[in-house]
Amino acid sequence: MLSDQNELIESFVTEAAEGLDGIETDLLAMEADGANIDVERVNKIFRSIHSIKGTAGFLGLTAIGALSHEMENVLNMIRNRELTPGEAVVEALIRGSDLLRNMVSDVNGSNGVDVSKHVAALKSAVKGQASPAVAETPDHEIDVLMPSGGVAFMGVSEKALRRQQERNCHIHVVEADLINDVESKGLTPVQFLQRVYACAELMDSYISTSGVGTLDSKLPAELLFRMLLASEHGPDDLHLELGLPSDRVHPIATPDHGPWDSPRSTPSPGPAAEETARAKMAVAAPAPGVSVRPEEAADSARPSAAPVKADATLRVGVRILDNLMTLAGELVLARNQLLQISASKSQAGIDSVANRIDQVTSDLQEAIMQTRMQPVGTVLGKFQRVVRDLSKTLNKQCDLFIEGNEVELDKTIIEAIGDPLTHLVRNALDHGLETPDRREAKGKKPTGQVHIRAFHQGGKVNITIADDGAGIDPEKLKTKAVQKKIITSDQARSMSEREAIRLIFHPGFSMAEKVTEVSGRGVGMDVVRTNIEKLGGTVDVETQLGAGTTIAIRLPLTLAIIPALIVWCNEKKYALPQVHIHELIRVKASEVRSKIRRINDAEVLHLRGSLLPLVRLSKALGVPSRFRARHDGPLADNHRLALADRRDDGAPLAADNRRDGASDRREDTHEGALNIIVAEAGALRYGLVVDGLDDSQEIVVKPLGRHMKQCICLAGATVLGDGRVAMILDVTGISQHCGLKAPDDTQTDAADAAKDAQDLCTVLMFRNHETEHFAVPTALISRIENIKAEQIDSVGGREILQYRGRSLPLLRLEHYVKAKPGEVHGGCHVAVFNVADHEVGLVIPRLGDIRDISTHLDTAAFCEPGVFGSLIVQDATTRVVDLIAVTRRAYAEWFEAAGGAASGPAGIRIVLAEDSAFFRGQVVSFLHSAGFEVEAFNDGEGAWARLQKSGPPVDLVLTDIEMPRVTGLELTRRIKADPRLRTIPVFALTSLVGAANLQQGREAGVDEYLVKLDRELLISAIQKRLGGAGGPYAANGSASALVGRPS
Amino acid sequence: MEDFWIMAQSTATQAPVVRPAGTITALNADEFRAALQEQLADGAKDLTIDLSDVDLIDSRGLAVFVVCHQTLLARGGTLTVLGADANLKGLFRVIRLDEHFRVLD
Repeated sequence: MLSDQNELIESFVTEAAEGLDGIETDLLAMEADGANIDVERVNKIFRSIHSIKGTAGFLGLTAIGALSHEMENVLNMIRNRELTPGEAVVEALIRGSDLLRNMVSDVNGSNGVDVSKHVAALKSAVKGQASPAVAETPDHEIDVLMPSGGVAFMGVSEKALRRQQERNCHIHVVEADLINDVESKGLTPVQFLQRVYACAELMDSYISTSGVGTLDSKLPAELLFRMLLASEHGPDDLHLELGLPSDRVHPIATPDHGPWDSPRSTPSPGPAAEETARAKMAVAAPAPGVSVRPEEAADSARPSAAPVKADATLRVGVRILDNLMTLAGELVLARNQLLQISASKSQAGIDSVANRIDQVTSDLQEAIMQTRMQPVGTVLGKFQRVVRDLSKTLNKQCDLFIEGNEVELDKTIIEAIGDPLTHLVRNALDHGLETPDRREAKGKKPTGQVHIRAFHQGGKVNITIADDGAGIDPEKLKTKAVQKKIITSDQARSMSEREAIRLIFHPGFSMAEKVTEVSGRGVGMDVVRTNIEKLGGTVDVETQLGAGTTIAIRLPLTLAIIPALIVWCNEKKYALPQVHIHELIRVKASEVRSKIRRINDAEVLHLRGSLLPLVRLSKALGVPSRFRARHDGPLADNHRLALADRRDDGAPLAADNRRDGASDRREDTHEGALNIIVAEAGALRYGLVVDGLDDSQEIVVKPLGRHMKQCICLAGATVLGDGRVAMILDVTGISQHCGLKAPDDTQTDAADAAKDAQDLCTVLMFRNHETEHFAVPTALISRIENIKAEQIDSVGGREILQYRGRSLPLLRLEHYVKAKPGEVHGGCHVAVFNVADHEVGLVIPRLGDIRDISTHLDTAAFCEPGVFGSLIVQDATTRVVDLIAVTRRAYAEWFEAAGGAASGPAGIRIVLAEDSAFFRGQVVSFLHSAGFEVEAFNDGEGAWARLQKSGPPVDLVLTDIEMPRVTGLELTRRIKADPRLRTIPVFALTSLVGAANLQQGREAGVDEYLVKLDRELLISAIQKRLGGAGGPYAANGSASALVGRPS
Repeated sequence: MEDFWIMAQSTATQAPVVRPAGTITALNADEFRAALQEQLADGAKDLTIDLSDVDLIDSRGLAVFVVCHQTLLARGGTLTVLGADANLKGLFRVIRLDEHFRVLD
């Protein structure tokens, strides 16, 4: 940490110096702007000072911190238009920045510098400006400057100076070395002062006490003494009077003119002599304790002077420089070789030289890039301090974890991400983390965590800022966006969660419930996004209500040279940055029909089980998609486009292909094939259809002119190896232009689903009351009907649906489980299902999606008959309804009938091994309702133990495949290996049947595979097996005889 | 060197007091410096220089005062100057050394 500190100080000095370099120009321009402030300019100044303040605070540079803090306050007032940047204010700021610069150049001594005068000056400048009604000709304290620009005297009374002028005196600053100028002439200090008094009035003096060393070292060789003198003598004879060299006397003002005579408000060039005098003069200023350098005064005299950009400096490691030198040497050698070959006009060897130059140039490029690379830690390091201070201000507790300080980024990017990152970190603390007591109430640790991680991935630098706070509520965002008229309520309804969360990036959208001090100062999330995107990066938000928010920033390593894929569209080449390319796909003509679908107005590609929206580059760019029939042939409209366009009228593609008589003449031999680039724009992935693919090149990015700013599909331009200009495509811009929307979470859900496919169950989601979410397994539902309210009859307290000439008993969920009543307006849906040989309908007021959910249900939160348990689906607590139990509560008599009728299998005993409580409960109730005896176990081990024990004979084993301890396959193997048990049929239950599974199961000895939750199939398979093997009970009996009494 | 001598006293409880006499000039400035250094060798933070017997200080002599002040400042202590005559007091005031260390009567 200590070595970090030194590095930080070093980098602080460089940064601060850079920040201060251009600041005066900007300050003066700001003054020229007056009340009509240029916000960007003020922000720029603000940021420079702000970052100095932040780092200084962190490094414990209190004096720098105090001064920059005061300056920041003033600038903030200006930015908020609470203060007009008048002369006094600007000068206070300039004087402050002067002192800052001095302090920065001697960081270690900076804490000893007294900044109180400057701070007071800033304060009084604000006061003076805020209340313009001050006394007429007030006395000002001004600073007298040396011609070199340093402050000679601070806080000199302007009145006193003017009085001296009125008495026809010149004002001088005299610097004397008491040892070399005075003592060497045999004068004591007292004698020298007597000489001074003889010819001048001493207005102020200062003896330099720094740099004299200590008593332990040699005595100093000089002792500098500075005086502010008013004298009738001009500069030419004062030095003679004092017996000093002429260069010790610096004229400040003549009786006729002083720099405080509003030198900066008179732009008209005075007489040449006066101009020169002024240029030579140190200038002091007519406002409370402020001053300007002559050059700046001249600058401000030209109100429209364009701000001069400070030359940025860069620290480069010596090793890199050495490497550059070596490479430069190599290049010279290669050039010499080339010249030699060229002179001898021999072709031989030119290849090897070309290779060499290629190699050296690549290395050189890399080395030069390295000089621009800086560790991101220089930015991230600041956040410890930010977080510490903020958590104090906000009364929150927060631990900050930073990873990846060493990740390197282009200097330009490093500098530009400071503000956005700070904003994000502030947000995480301010809006993300809850207060300690609220966290405790939610069962979290009172101390929140913010993780900042930087890492390389996919040729980009990723920076994530993750908090474990409250997360963002998409519904709240929608409500707010509707309130703010950013979106309509219709839009809000159709918005996916991801889209809703992205609303925070919308201009004019403040995420804070209330604007706090912390968030109020910063820039909005939209500015964060704009800034990041300006750098060629992307920002994304992931949030989970109650669990926290992660903001992910992806940044390119550098902006200047990027690898890109060259693609063709309308006979022109375009460059597509590689970082946006996820994969390339070629869809053969014969596959176009099966792989590409048209949904409404949009084309989508079937890609490995998911749908990918397609965008035709030609359409996005508004150019025709063309191909050349022959190299010399005329250009024709690409029929491929027409093909896809015509597909929606149902014409078969093959027919289209036949109609397309020109196809065999195409340059592209695989005519009709589509080249698709799977492009990534943030969270969005889409397919970009291009006419052709070319090679991959490293391109140099050139910005587009302002007149091309409107083209959001284009990010820039580049010159290709063949000298042609190619436009660089903007993947994000194209998706926006074509109105693509970020996908919902379905993709990730699907991925999760694949992970534990064994434990998934397909359910129908619905809401009974607006606020309560439910799900029923679809396996039980035979169909869903859309009915009208008037079709429902109430008969004897029960509701019946008249439908298809029959009466269907209806169930309302709220009658059987604890649920708020659902309202049925006009129409609703009814899920029809079969239980105990009866058809029943469940009233579904608001139908939702069909989803695959995990069967690992929470059975603790909602425990009642009719509900299996609950789980979180898309942030909503969803209860999974047990339809059989609900039906049993409604029509208990059906079940008695079923059991009593004992439709054959009375006394049949089934052992069930199933680890998911949900499936277990479900299967047990199927079997019970069919009249079987069931013994259920939550893994193979339990079932095996049961089979080993004595007890009622077991007629059939039903087992899940994936289970802890003993799996279904293992259980089956054991059963089939046991001579006493091997005749018991074993049925495997599975939610997904794959070929490999089947094979494994067969080898293990599984008699039958059944899909879970298919009640009818299950019952009939059991009946068939037990009944089919030579009579229903004979087989059963013999099996029992074999199995039942092992002991 | 008859015109310059130094009396120093130092007790356990009090800050050391150095009392030079005569003139402090380039000729004896280093001797004066060494005397002060010796008094501060044990790490004392404060020091008093009694100028009751001094009638002249030249620029190098003055430099010793500045150096002494800086040394004590670095230790977090203070230099106190006593008994300067009107001329010397005026000197300290004019060159504003009295703003750096204490000048008492």
